[in-house]
Amino acid sequence: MKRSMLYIAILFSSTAIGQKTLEDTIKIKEVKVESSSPFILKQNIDSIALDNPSNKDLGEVLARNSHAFVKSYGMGSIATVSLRGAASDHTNLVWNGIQLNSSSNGVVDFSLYPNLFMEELSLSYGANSLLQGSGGIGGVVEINNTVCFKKQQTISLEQQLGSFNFQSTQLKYQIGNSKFQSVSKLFYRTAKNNFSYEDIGVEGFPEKEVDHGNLMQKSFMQSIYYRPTNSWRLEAHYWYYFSDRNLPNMMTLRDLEENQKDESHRLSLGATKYFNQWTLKGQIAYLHDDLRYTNNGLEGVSESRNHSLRSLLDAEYQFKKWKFKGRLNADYEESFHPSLRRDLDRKTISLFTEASYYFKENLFVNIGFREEIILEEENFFLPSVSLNFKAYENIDWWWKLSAAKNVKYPNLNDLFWQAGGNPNLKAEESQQLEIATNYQKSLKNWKTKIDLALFYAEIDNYIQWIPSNLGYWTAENVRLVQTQGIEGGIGVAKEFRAWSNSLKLNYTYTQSINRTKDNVQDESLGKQLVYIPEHQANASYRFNYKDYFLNYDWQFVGARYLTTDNSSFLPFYQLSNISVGKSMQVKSNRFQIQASVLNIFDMDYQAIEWRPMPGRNYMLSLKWQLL
Amino acid sequence: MATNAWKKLHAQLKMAITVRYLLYLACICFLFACKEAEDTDPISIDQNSRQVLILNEGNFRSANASLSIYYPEKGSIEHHVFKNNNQNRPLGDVVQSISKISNRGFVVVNNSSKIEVVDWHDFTSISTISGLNSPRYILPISNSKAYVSDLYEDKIYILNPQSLSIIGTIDSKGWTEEMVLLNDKAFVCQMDSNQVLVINTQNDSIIKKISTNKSPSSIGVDQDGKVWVACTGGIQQDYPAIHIINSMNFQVEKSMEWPDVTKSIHHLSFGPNGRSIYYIMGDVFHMELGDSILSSTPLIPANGRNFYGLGIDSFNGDIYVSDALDYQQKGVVYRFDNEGKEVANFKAGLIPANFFFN
Repeated sequence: MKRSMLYIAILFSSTAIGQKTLEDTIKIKEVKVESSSPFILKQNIDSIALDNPSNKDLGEVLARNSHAFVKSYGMGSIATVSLRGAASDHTNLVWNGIQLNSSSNGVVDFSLYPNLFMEELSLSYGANSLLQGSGGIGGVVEINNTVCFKKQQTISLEQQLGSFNFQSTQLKYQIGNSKFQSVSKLFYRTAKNNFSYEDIGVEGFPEKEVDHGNLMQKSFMQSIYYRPTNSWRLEAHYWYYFSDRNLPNMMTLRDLEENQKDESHRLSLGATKYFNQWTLKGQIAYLHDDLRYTNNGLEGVSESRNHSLRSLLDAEYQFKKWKFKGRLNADYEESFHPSLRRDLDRKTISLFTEASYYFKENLFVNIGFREEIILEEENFFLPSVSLNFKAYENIDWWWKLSAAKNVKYPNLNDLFWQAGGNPNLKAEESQQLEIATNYQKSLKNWKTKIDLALFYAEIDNYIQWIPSNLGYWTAENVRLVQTQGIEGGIGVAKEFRAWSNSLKLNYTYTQSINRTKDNVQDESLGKQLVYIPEHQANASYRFNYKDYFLNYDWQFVGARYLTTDNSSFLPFYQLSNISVGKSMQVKSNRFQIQASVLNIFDMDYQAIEWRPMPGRNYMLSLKWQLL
Repeated sequence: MATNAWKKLHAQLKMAITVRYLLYLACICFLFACKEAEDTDPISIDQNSRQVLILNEGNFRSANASLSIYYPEKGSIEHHVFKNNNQNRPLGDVVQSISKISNRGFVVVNNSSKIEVVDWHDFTSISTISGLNSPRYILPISNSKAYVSDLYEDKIYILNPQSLSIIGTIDSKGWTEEMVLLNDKAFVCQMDSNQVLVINTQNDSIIKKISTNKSPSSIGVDQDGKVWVACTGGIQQDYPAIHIINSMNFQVEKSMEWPDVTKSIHHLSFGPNGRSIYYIMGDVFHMELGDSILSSTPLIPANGRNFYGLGIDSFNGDIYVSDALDYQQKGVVYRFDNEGKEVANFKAGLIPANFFFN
């Protein structure tokens, strides 16, 4: 019985276990964390980080709570994510199992994802992303929508006001019973982002104000969940997003005025059937993404459209000491842009199978295969293997050793952009090794969690756009890149009657090294890639006393090189944010007020060269919930 | 009860101290992550030595263009001359060219849409001409007039180099690039077309459009007063070619094509005698006045190097060729004698692209 419980625990480890974070386990006593599960597989981000208004979008949540390096082009501006020293198009974003990366350039702009639109957020680093698809050489960020089947009707309305005319309104309405649930979400945000900065690009270094950074974003999400019987679960989600942003100027390009509009429709339908020993899940999604870019030097609009139809079939089965997992993906993608030679499409079929064998409760091996077929083009076979064990019978201390292969097939732009796209590009291939360990201990009202991972990977045929002799840039397989590093995390939480405290620390050391030398004068050999910091850390401290709370977030980003010979760099920066708040309950009304100071120490910094960033700024949030 | 409260408070304090200690520890660790910045002290320019100015283009939208000065007699080099001599203000985004007009340097910074006017002796800023669209090259016409070609403006600006103001424009359609002045006529490469414009500099009007191969980019005048134009061939649209134009009747007297669309001819340059012609087509090629076909044997083979810029020392005919490497690190400048024998090589800035011999 105990064993089968464990198997079930592991079986649902990707969705259930581990989502209950340190914070939740303390606050909500009835939710137990299954202690003997190997959840070194993913890093789950606390729902408190998602709810904290000072984290304005998914990019900011990741920057302050994970090992991800988030490269932000400015306040409210584009933010891309790099994991484990890989490129930003090596980070996959998956929503309820469906990949959202752009078909044309492979990149995700994490500033366009409101935290309201997800109940769960987790990251799987390196080869741990293989279940969720290939291409995530750095890893995968997963966002999920979940619901609790109980009789309820709640309204939640939140208004946020911040410096630089920041206003954000969020509404969530949830209604349902034990069979049916509906969740509606509305999001509206405007900001001027007219902060001032010292312009070190012009003579005299005058104080200037960003005069072209305003934005308007609105979105809507509707989720419906239906559970006709205990063994069936159906769900449907529709997501509409519109964003209209003026991109803030670079310090050295005052006259450039850029505007970007993003519009997305995403529809996803899913069904899950639970049998005695196995589970079957199907999902189909239609994604429509439209990006319109203009600038004052450009005639007309540069419009890029991506349509895709993605589907997956998931099966999990357990039999005695075996556990099997399979996933079949079939994707159809289309890309349109005047600079693509023709309207392009791509069909991909992939099959992932994984078998786990349990020698005993605390020791199992995992062997997985992914077969990726890009129809009429290429196919890849990607094996993975891992050994998972607990060091001591009675101590919750897991180890994982793994090796895997991953591949990133070139994006449509890399292949077919006119001019410079290179149809002869080879796929980027990566071999990855990892040793990870996870230790947890709960003692009376203390709880401790320690994670440590060492990783090593090689990325061959690394694709970069380089200027050619013909006067334009071309995509080429130019490098062999070696990445290695350490990811460490500590979580400590303590509760005592009306008090509770928790502290989380993440530290990331990343080497991302070029192993190719073009000629004898090339000094990039053995050097760190540009814009990948070697050191990175963040910490978040939370303190609760009765209805009062305090949050302190600290983020450190080490120096980032600007040149491949590492001859110039941007210095490190560290940012601190503090929030205090109080919640109150009046009958079935619940109120919460929170005041935040962001960048408390008014740090003057550049995340990307010449892109101004805001100094100290403030935010106030009011939330009303009708339960 | 009071003891309990005290205990609680004590526990909180302990936690707070631990937190602070951990953060403090973390800060100490990160001191190791700090790196030393580049030298930013002003640079004194050696006025007694000959100078080779190297324009390091830098990356598009990265504002990391720079100006280096190489002293060929001493074999030494100074980097970031503009930045260091202007209170660490960056030169800007993509430096394209430099022209000397009466003891002032006019540095065209293409993607910053400006011309930095500097004192020729120490490169300190005199003024910044801004509000241009995408300026490329300057052609001095007289003391009070110069033309500025532009990538996007569909016009050639007319600049007064004394008042530093734009005094007019010439409608030109499309991307204008290198220019040359001969007998009151300006010959202007129109990069996104297949023609060279001829402008009467007396009244600033276009008097002729000379057909060439696709994308004429560099231009010069030989010893006999003939205009030479090199065409890149565009983006695999046409054969790269060199045309020789009669400057009196504007007829193309000779056309030399290289029948391979994947090649591109750029950086056409003349030796001090006006008889030796050099250009880059992957490798560095050389020809003499009177040659009627393009040579298939390079003077300086690239051998895996990424030849990007070329300049000929007007004093002794030394050939300077830059290698942009991966375009994301300090590039190399090779110095050869006029027979192609390597004299020296040294590192310049990011993407060394153009040279000026002083």
